[in-house]
Amino acid sequence: MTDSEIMDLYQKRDEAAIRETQKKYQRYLMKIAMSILGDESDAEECLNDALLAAWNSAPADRPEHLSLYLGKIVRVKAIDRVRYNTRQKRQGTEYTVSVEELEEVFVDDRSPENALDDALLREALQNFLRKQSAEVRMLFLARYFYYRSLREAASLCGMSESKAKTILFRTRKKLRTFLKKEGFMP
Amino acid sequence: MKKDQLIDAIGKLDDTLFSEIEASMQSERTAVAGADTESRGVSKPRFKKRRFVLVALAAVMLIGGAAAFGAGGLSGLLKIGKTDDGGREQTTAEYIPFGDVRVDPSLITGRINDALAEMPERVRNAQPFDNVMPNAILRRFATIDDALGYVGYKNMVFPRLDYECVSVQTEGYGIAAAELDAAVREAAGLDSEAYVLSDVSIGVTQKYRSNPDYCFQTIAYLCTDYVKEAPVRIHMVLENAKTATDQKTVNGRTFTILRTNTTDLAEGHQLATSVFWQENDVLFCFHIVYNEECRDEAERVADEWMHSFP
Repeated sequence: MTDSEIMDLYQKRDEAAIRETQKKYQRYLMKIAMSILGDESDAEECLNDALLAAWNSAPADRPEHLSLYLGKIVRVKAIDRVRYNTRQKRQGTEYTVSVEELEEVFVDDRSPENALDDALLREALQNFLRKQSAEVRMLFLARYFYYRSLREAASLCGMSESKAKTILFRTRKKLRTFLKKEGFMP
Repeated sequence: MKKDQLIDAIGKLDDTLFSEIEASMQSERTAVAGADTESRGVSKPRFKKRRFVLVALAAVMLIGGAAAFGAGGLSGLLKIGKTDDGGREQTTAEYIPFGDVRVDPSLITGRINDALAEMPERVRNAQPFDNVMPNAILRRFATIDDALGYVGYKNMVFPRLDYECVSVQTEGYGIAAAELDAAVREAAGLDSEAYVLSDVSIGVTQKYRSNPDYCFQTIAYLCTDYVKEAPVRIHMVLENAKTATDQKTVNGRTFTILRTNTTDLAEGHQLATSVFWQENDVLFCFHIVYNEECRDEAERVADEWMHSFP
């Protein structure tokens, strides 16, 4: 079934939409959830939450790319779950490893006067990524959006792990400089 | 700034930023070459020695038998099988050339020899969490001529196609994984099916983009091997795949064609066509992934590759 046909089912509030979504994207979405959560039962629950969210939001949204739309929902749900889990016990997944890498980028300044507008941050981050080469952009997203392991991310981008590691290190450093320059951190 | 804000911002990035990574992930799902670890869909074809083939066959229950064609004009045998990966049924496809495709190492004259010479030292010094596999050589090149020059084997020729070239790379593997320290092997994720230094496999891969959504790859492999009875093969693992084999004769060469429909993959990545040929000690493979709407285009490009053979 095409994405468009599945979206039609969502908009008609036909529950077959969920079945068709699972049939087509279950494995892709589970991969994202598993990369973040590292636990199959958590990932399955997260996937169910994501499908429910898609069901609830689909009448308003008609995304151009259904896979990416669903992937983003799963990512949000899985991160919510891992944040909850991490409060109780630190998890050893690609998510936590990737997040530790990203910690180089920011200073955790929680003072109210430094609270920033999420939309502006998103815009700045997009501008930053648009200025990078396709190779850098791919690698950044593979590692920090999809939470692929360094090895998988390198492979996706057709490069060696050492090269990927170097590029990511430089990119995080550049991002930190960029965000400071844009006023997102002191 | 709170770290969660940055993580959330990454999650809300505009879809347009994902075009390259999404294309790469589509390719990954069914890629013939690329990731060393098996991903969804098709795994990288690898050289396997006969001893590994025999081990594999012991566990493989052939379905529908082998697609053994008549020998006239064909260069190899395509075997379709089924295997069980921890309860997950998988379809396997192996292309085993009829001829002995081993290349005399002295005929490989490119700079890859320098990297091979360094390999024993790299293996000896390998640490568990090194970022580079000590028994692999991966190089990317701007042009196919540069890649072929790096290998330096005169019979490794490449059909040239007039499409946007995305990347060119060589991969070389030597040193048996078993020779590596166990901790290094585990950290690097290397299985025991690897290569000794005298048994080097070298692949040159060129990725093209035929339209904004679909890539295809052309690959040439060779293997140096002092060990007798060690033919190379291309090995693919497909999940929930329906397969159909075919052959086509172009300019006296009878190419073996494998068409697959991997029904559990997302639309746009379900159909794939692989074409195999072996000539002058080199194993050639063409691989394209597409959806139903692009079937004609994919077939046309595959046909073009067969006609472009030098």
